[in-house]
Amino acid sequence: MLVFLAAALGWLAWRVLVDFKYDWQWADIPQYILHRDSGGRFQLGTLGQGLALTLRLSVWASALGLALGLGLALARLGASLYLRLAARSLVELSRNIPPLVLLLVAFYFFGAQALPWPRLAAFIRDCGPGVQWLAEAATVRLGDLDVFFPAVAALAIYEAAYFSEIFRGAIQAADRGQWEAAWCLGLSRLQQYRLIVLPQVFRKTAPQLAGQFISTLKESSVVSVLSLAELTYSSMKLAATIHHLFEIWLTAAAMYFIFNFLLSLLFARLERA
Amino acid sequence: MKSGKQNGGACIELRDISKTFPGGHQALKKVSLTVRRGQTVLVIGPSGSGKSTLLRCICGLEEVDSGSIRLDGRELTGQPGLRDRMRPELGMVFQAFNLFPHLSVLENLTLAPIRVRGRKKAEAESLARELLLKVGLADKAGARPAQRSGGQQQRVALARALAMNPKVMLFDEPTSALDPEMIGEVLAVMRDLADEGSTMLVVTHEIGFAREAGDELIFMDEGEIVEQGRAPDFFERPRTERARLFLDKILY
Repeated sequence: MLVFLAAALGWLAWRVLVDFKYDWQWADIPQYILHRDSGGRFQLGTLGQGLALTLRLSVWASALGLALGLGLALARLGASLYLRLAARSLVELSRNIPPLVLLLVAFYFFGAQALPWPRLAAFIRDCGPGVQWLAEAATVRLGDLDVFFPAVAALAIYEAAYFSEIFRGAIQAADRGQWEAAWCLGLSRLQQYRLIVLPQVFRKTAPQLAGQFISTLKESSVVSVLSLAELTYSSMKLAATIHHLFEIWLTAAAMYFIFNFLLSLLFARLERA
Repeated sequence: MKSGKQNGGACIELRDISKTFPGGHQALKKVSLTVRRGQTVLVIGPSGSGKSTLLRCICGLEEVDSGSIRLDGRELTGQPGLRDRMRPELGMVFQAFNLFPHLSVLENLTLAPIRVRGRKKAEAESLARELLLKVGLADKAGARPAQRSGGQQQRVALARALAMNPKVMLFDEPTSALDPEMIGEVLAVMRDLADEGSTMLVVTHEIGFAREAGDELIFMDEGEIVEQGRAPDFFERPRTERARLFLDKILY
């Protein structure tokens, strides 16, 4: 087994280093992540900005997905048959539709039809430069809002299904004695959830929730089909311009990997603390 | 025996309560029982005799199929609204403690007084500290329950129930999950409570405690109250065959 593995690695190394007719040009790449402008200040390059947008997309999608997922979990465990059915339907829909298709449906429905994005953009612009700066820092430049929010919505719905299953499992696994003690002390159903069960559920599911955030970050690359300049789309655009395909895609892969890996290390550390 | 304690009117009155679980096991068969204010009533019996179900029906964790439960003269069965308001009047102490692990000891005690009774935080905390002093854990207010021993956890749970100032305290085998060396510290607190004139209904396997702590002893078997009376009479002169069998098993 080990011999076979060594042979495979050796072949790959030979293939890449010796047999491979490719003109490696790494020197140009770092400036696309971070560079100094004429004033000497650091500026994010195309790939750096892409990662920043990927991050904003994922944070929004996860935050909304988390809230929606919690709502779905509570609805599925609740007493109302209609809520249970509605929540179940949404979970099944988003679990059985490819995220890419979900994204396109969300884009053509919310982005193009349902919501007046240009008017929202104009409204934010009218609020003054401070508000506009804040809005753009938290999301995208105003012109792209009509793509950004459908993308966030699609990712959030997709992730909500997984978040809801994580929450549902943990709520169902909660010690019955906790409910009983809270009930006997006179807490209402809402208080039992809010003060007793959910805080424990959040604590217990933190590692899974963190894992799901990382998977949102990876999943967000599908948004590239909407020409929204997150990391994957930025890489595609850059590859089309400067043609260093291998360097660019290896760099993009490394950026995803390093960022996600550091996140998972951070979460693991927080969990132990 | 307790002395100088006045027993008042009926606090809990059960009449003919029955409970059958889904699956057909009849846990309670027309049980009638009165606990007077200030009285400590102990319930013993083999496992599966319906003792715990009796407590769970009184505090409302289980619904009775038939019969009447009165608290201070007010009928609780068939009155969901009243039953709901009366929940905090029945202080329950569980075998497994059921402390809230994400809260400190002090927060375990103040949560319900603040959220349910609408007490001010400072007021709830000073009462909680008094109660912790009473159960001998004044210095543990800031600790997490999971860091404490079983005996300490159960004393916290007891203080948590007391913090609601309930009309009656219900104990569901409070020492059964404890290591032997910790049973004494919990029983000592319960004895103090009984001596102070708290109204208590205690399901227990602690025969020594049952012998001398209660005003009245109830022996249950197969969902029925088989014997009821003063503890010394029961232990020295059991009237029924079932009680004699039970005593033979646990005393020798």
